[in-house]
Amino acid sequence: MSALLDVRTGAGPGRRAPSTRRAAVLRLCARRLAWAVPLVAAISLAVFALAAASPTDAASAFLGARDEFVGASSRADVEGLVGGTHWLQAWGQWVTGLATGDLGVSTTGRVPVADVVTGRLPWTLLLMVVGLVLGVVVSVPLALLAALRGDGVVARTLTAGLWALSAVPAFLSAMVLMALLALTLGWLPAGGLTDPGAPVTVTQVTRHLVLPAVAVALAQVPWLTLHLHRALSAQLRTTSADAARLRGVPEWRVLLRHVLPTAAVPTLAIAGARLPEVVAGSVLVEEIFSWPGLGRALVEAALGQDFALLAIAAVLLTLVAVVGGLLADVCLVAIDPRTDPDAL
Amino acid sequence: MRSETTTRTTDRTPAPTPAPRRPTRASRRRLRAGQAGRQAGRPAGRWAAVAGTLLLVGYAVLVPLLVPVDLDHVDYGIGATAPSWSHPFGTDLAGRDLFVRSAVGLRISLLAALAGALGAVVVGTLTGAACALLGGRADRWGMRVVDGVNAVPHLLLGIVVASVLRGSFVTIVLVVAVTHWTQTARLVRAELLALGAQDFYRAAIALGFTRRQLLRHHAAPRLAGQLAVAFGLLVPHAVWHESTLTFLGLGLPPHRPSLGVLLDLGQQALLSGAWWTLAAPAGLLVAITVCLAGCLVGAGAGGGTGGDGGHHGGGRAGRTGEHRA
Repeated sequence: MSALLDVRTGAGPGRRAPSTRRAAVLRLCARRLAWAVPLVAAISLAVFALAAASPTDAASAFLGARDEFVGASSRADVEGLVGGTHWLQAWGQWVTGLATGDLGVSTTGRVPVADVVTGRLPWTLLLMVVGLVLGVVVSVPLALLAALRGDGVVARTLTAGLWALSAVPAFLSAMVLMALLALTLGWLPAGGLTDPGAPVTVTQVTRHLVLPAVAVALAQVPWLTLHLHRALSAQLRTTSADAARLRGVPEWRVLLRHVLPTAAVPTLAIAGARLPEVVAGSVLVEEIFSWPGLGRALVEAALGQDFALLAIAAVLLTLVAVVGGLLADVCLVAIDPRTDPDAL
Repeated sequence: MRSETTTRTTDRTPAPTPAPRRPTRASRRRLRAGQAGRQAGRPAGRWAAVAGTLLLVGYAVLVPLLVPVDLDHVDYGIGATAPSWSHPFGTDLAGRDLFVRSAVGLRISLLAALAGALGAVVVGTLTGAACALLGGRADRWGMRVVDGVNAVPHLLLGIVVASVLRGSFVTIVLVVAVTHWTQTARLVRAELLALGAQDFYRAAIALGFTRRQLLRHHAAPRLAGQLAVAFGLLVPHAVWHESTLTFLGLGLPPHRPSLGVLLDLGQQALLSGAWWTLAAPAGLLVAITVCLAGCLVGAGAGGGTGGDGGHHGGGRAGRTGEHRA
């Protein structure tokens, strides 16, 4: 068959054979991950440079409150331990340590940084994933409901309410949740991973996860719903939707089968671009609910000028955002045949 | 030729379509509504937002001037009293009047936000203009830096910067400027590149206008409106940044009662049941965010407001900047 008659050729890069498309997706992954390398280098360099520029003496930061009681000789020991190297040299050591898994010692917790990371990263990922999934599970029906109601009272109230909710900072809604559900009503624990002293069991963690996860979800619901609603409303007004209606397809079916798949695409693209914000929101939520995650470690490290921990926490949280954005783009390519993986 | 095609279409037997059902009621309503879009912005809401902003700014500026109270005067005798006529917003645990303290807090937060947003817009304009005017390698590298800064969660970058330069007004301004110049840079670059491709601009060059004249008469007017919107959208977001960083203990020191400081104190007081200590600054924070964003509804802010990371969807806002946390 000549190329002229092959209807698939004219459709652009999206209609490639599946194998080429898979290769393009792999290229996309490789490109993004390769781009993450200079990004990680830049962040860690910035942390080390800032640490060197810090007006606080490294030895004092290490000693903390004990600084006043330390004798001259032990102070000299500490200075020999923490100071003395140029920050570029220290960064070089950090990078080589990264390869061997030796990330230095956290000065705030007095434990190896690698232990802090392995102990905390899973809890952060758990909180983010559960929070995001919860957010999506709430947002999609809300957006569908609002779209189904058109310009009615329900849709307008919902939109206005979500708009107002989006003006409430994540830490504020988290505090309100805590005040209401944990402190006043006492239904759920106010913070931590488990009850004090209790072993880490599934039931314990689930109970303690509810409020932080709801807080993370609450920060995502407004924009997710509003974006999806906007996309759904636009799609509902297209001629293809009208054509489906004229064929007698019921409205809910037009919404679910004809409109939702198309409307989900731009929302997913925006969700991928907003993942850094989800990461930032979870940092705040972790801090408020004393959730033992990496975000809380980041804040603790910043407060205690613990630069070894600060560097790795900042790098890992950025990587979470980058990898999450990549996943969203891969999903986009999988759903929408029009997207070109090479252009993402 | 033409008749042949028409006969072919008429000759064709109609495809066996399923018996059309009657459109449902909801469908009929939609069909009747047709392609008509929703009305773009409601002026009444916008005027309310402008009035609210003026009211809040007036409160922040005038109350500390008109009510001469020592801000740090502690009186435990009236500590944690609920809102009343003498103390409209109640008092905090140390007996300081929250009506006045919140006004001062709003003023500090707004000042920090205005300075930070201004810094971000200035840095962004300079970088964006440099990228567009220099072009080539400088442009590519500049845009790569923009992408890099954008990939890092802004709050995270702010925490890292504030870990070293803690506890001052300048730090907050710096953090906001350092993390938020990228959107403006992209906007300015795109606008200037688009301008450069316009016929009237090429004509102006051909007519021998000087660079200064080109910038003054073509570039500046085109950018001014966009920059004003970008600045306006940044301010509520910068208020959020200030209060968040301060809340985490990395922002302003406790003796400068910004909204962040008041919220932090409010959280502590919340445990003892004094909800109003949190409600006053929290309400002000939400109100100022909504009002500032509402002022710009027609200009760009669509889906959401500045609150959580200042998200602005839709229309021109996509170009003027999605401010993220």
